[in-house]
Amino acid sequence: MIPVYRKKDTLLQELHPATQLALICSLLILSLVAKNPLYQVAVIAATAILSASADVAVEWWSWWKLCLVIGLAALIINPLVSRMGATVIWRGPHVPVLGRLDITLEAVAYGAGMALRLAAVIWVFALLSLIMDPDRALGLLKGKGSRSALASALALRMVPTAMRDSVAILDAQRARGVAKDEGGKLRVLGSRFPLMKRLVSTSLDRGIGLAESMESRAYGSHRRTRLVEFRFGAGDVIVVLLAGALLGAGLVGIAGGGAPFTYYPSLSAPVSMWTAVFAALPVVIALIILALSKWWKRWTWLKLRT
Amino acid sequence: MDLVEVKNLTYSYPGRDRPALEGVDLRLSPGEFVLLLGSSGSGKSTLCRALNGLVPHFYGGRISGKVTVSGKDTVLARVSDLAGHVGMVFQDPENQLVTESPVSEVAFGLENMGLDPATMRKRVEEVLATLRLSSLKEKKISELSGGQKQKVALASVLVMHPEVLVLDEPTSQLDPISADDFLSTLKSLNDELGLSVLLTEHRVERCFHFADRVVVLEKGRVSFSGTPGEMSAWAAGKPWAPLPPITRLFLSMNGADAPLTVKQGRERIRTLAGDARGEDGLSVEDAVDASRMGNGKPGGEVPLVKVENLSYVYGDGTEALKGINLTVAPGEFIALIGENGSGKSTLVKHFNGLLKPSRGKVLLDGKSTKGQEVARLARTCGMLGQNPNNQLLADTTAEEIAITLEAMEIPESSRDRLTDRVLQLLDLESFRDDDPRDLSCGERERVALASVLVYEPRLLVLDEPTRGVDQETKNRLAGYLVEYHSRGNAVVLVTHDLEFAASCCERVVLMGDGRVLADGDKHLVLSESLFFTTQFNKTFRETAPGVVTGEEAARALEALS
Repeated sequence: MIPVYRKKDTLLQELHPATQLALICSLLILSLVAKNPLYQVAVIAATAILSASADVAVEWWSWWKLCLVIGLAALIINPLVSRMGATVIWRGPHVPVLGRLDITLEAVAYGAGMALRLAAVIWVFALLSLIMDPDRALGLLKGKGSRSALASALALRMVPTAMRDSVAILDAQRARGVAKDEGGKLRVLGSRFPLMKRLVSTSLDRGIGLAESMESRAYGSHRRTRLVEFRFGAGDVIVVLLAGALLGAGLVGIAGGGAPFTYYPSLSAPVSMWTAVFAALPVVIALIILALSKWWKRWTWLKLRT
Repeated sequence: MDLVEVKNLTYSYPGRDRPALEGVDLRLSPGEFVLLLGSSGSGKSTLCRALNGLVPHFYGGRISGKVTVSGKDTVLARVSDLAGHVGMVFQDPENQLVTESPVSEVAFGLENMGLDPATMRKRVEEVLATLRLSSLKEKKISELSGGQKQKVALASVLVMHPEVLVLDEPTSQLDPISADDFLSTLKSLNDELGLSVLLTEHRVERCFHFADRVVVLEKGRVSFSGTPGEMSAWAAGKPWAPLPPITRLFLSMNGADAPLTVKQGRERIRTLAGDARGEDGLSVEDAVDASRMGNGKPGGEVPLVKVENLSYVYGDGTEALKGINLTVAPGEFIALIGENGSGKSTLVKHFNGLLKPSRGKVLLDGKSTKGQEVARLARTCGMLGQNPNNQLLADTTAEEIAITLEAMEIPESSRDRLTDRVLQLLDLESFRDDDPRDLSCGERERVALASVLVYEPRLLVLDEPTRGVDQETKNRLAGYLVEYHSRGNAVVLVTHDLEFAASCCERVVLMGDGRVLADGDKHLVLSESLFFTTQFNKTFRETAPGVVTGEEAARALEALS
């Protein structure tokens, strides 16, 4: 099961959605633009700390399987298809289309760096899905954006329903012997493929029902207003400043060569004091937010909104 | 002035020759509670959708005649413009809730209407408090029960301050307790706020007495319109007409002026019992065959299913079954009853191996289900789930049956014969080449049943087969099951429909909190229950406590008359 947003009384969940997006975007941008894998490790560590501060660490960690699968794919595929790198560690046979399979140390390292970057991106999005209420996200957007947000919110809401439907359909077909459980993976999968048709038609029926319900409640008749009025509080101001500091310092550090790292043609990773400082920044800021989350429960002024 | 006026409405869905509604006339006054009845496919849902403009705006098709709501012609007005006048609640709460929070859901319509936040906040809080939903504000929609979801759906239309509430079988997906709670709420809204209500419902006994007026649709035409009392007189001699069981009973015995509720029926029985005291005649106890009031449990035969100390825990930690012991003998007909979440469905899913015990064991035909493929166990234990649509994969009825025969590896030489036999048994011959998805709800239920009955499993398990089906379909289903049982097969019925259970079954197992609370002959189990019993038992409890079925009630009434 994919863990979804669950309301908990924590600072990160109570922030203005724009503040939440600012924090997430700063982590995301850093993980995408930084070449040094230390940054990706730091972003992952910061995300872990933030998930703990929001009391969603267990749900956040449950994404590890997806990170592992996608990371492994990057780690394996890149050395096989990349022809760059000076240090050949294994000379393989000639393969049609791909050519000669020479595995280089640099390609393996690049694959590992890519795996880390993908894991960082996945975990940042996982954090977003766990701290941001989809309904509040819908409320944040206006105009055409709100339609996309509504479609996303609907899709998110229908995921558990579709999963329940698929279990019910599978059970019904297993109970009449149509869907098999034994006889090898091919037989099992082959017997379940026709069930997709029923699942699609059930989902379409549900979609029509939802459309009827929305139209019956005046959807599309006026310019939408929103019930929830978003207001910034002291906590928002502090977190926005921290997110800005994280992004600003990170980008300045990267642009200024504070954490250099080169994969090709040969690995080069000069370590300096600034490398450690820049890489530690996301973790330090996450720790500050963790501390803020603890104080937030007691310091009521942090909850005051404009 | 009438709030709703339907004049000579005829409507056909796109691509259909036969109209779904034909020459329908209907009026709804302010504050009136109208119950719209009719069998599946009679046009009830179409008429409901015509009132808020979904027909024809959403569905297309051909329309003639006129529908006006608060003076607005629904063909000329947009559906969204009618939303402030007509609030519509649909059958399945899963298909009508848009957001993940009750508060956002209730506010959804107001946001669409462009109201300011202060007005919205007031209205949302007010309606949540009125429907006693305030405690659910912090919950997620997916965490709510079916009844709570349907109440949120009601709140989400009520908040728009409609003048008319239109509800299309809103309780068909709910258990009896949630359904009663929902309908009581509806009645109090009608009483206290003067809200006009148009309700369609198959379980008429739940709401017949609420109605100011009853309208019956037959094949798209209005065949009756009048008060509930007039309806009971009109329905005399029409066994298909939807009436509460107790009304139907008195109607068949006394003719006119039949009671509409259990309370009225009990008073009538009390009077009859007082008059009959001291007279010679048939004792009311004769109504129940005393010889049948045994313990109802199987004797020395080798059981078809043997459940020993069965416990089951779901992945989320819910302990659904707690040390169940149960046997099903060959040729038994058992009803499993109990409130939602009592473990009924979880228990029967162990019979064919869909679930494997967390502790204890389940033996099917003497062999443990553990390690056995469901497809193999299905040869002995056929099962039909709650939603017949989940069963249907093929493009024709005959192909649907062929899929089962192939899966069960029935020799090809016998397949045609078995197909013909099951189609005949379930009156499906005329639908042989039809796509099951194009059939009515009751017909689809029969096709799904045929796809299980065709290979004649020795044990047939049905999970809520009567949910959301009309009386006629129910009567037919009861006939098929009794016939199937008479051939020596065992049937286990999971149901909330106690009248249906009592009419078919011999033994009743009452479950609660994952345990068997009572198990025995239906007369003993039902007559000892305060709530989990039939309308007939509730009516005759003082004079003939063993009465649980319609036939027994008729005999008891005859003895008293």
